[in-house]
Amino acid sequence: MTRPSPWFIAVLLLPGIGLIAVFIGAVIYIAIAQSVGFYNLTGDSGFSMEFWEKLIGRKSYWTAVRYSLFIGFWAAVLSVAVAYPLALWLRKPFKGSLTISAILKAPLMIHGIVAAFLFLNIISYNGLVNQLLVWTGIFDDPRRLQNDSGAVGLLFLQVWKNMPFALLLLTGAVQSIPQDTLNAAQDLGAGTVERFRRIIAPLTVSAMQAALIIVFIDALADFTFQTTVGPTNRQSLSQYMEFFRGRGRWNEAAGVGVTLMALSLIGAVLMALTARLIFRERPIARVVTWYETRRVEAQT
Amino acid sequence: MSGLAAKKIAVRFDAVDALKNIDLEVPAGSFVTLLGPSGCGKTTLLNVISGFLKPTDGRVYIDGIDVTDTPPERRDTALCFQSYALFPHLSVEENLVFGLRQRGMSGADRAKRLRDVVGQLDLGDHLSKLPNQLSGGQQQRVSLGRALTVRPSVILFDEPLSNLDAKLRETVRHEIRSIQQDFGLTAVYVTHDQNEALAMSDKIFVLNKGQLEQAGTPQDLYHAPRTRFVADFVGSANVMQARVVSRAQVDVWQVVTPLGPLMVRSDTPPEADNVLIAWRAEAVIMGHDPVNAVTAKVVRRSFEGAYTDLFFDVEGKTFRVQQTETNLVAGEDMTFSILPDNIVFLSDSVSKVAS
Ligand SMILES: Nc1ncnc2c1ncn2[C@@H]1O[C@H](COP(=O)(O)OP(=O)(O)OP(=O)(O)O)[C@@H](O)[C@H]1O
Ligand SMILES: [Mg+2]
Repeated sequence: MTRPSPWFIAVLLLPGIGLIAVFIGAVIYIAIAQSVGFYNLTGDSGFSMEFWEKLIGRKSYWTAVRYSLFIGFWAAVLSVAVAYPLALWLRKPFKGSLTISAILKAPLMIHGIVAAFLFLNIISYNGLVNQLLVWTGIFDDPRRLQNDSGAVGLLFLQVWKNMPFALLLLTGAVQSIPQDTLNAAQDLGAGTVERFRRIIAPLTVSAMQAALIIVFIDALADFTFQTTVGPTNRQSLSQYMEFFRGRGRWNEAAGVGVTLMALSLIGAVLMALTARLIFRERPIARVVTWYETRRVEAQT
Repeated sequence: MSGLAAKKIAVRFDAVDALKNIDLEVPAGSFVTLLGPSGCGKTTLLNVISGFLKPTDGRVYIDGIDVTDTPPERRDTALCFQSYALFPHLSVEENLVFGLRQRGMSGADRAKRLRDVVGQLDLGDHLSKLPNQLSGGQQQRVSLGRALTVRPSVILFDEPLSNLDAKLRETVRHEIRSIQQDFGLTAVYVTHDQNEALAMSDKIFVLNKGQLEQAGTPQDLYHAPRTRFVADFVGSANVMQARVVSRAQVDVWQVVTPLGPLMVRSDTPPEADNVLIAWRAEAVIMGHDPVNAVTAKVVRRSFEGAYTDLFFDVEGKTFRVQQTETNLVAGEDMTFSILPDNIVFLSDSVSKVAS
């Protein structure tokens, strides 16, 4: 079979990928253009950095940036941290393992807003959690757990919803490591932690990166969870964007949107790079080894 | 006692007995081989020794210490895997020092051990390569080196040569043996290749269906197999039924066989009147000898290089005679004699074998 020309392939792909590219391109273009004064829906259009200057000058903007990064980062890290042990546990099939893995993936099929309200009910003042804590004597009286200012409830929900993504990705990766390879490491003295650090993590780092990126981007731009169970004294970037939009300040809303996109990109790249550096490249270990070899060579 | 000992090991998987009542002793510094066909439990026994499998019954001792409940990472054993199981993301050098890092050895000591092993195995040109950039033989050497660097009390090999071609297999076989002797390692070597077992071992344990058939030096097993299985598996001896007629001398018995009446010289008496006897294809003398002469027609001849196999049929069974030099061809009659010393009584009863 001869290979069709790349142009032909490109034309075939056009209706699918082409359309996606056009839409994404259009969105990014509009957002950027709007944030610098074009497509002004209410007043004169024209280039202006005025909206950016105002945005950057606001303390609330920076608080929202920090807060969204905080949620994105921890949601990603915690989801992956929870997914790894589960993926390893489910690596080899055992009786009931299929059922367990199906149940673990159930959150993928429950809409976020439904989950959020369910969660609110469970942790409400008269909810199950409070009842349990009072009954066991850990609390003397029910406490207010909703919308806690530390965003613990929000992060819990984020992990609950996003962990299955990470699990899906990691399960495949972890299963592709041969048992002999793990046994060899253990045979040479590597305990559970060392096996993870030296063998499992480096060999599954691509899946880990993918999971981190997907969860990070999703949690960074979260609106649903934040407005239902998030701290009331904080605003996520999506919330902040909605705040401007609701007041008809489209240019500033666009500015926040561009910020979100930029942070998604930069944050995702940084997280992926960091994961790779820590688990695969091991720069510090390399320097130490290099130094020690030099010293031994110098002695002989 | 130093070295390795496994006492009364039994392993059960659900309904299957993978190992039954195995006793294994490997004195320090010796090279012991587990020999047996596929599925006889060799890998299972290695897994018990290295700690990956907890025996249903029995104990494992290393240097006299009971390690049955010690996890693999804290047992002083190192296993060379059939699949090599090199760490694909680590360079050859990092593979080699992996065990030393886990033991928290300092960089200087690590470098010294590395140098020793690299010199021994001639891996100097490959240190910075990744495993997938190596040939099969090189990977095999890295896997060997990775186990050697930790200087384990017991080194275990699970068919380490089965992925190599015949020529390389022979070279590496000698390499392994000489390294084992140089370092004075206590080694357990698993194979289903009888030549490998005979050539390398101080002592061979023959396993069959999870049970120990016979243990002994290569010479013992070859010249004095005790069961039909061992006689057949180690060097494929000729096995046939025999009826004991009389005791001609203290250590000589007269028997009747499909090949006619024969004399057997044995230190141990036959276990019954109807027994199995075995003789080696090469342990015959051509020509007419007054004792144990046999005449038969050659039905097939097969030139094997160093020797030639001559096959003949008696009572529907094929027998084999081996000669280094022969002009006999198929269809000709040959006369040879089997010396009484070269025939052994087997201990399986005829009825058990017939079933
Ligand atoms: N985890 C297990 N569960 C159930 N049965 C097993 C398990 N591992 C091994 N067995 C069985 O135990 C028996 C011995 O297996 P083992 O792997 O020790 O054979 P082996 O002698 O190493 O064979 P080979 O030469 O083919 O490697 C086999 O019948 C095998 O099917
Ligand atoms: Mg095996």
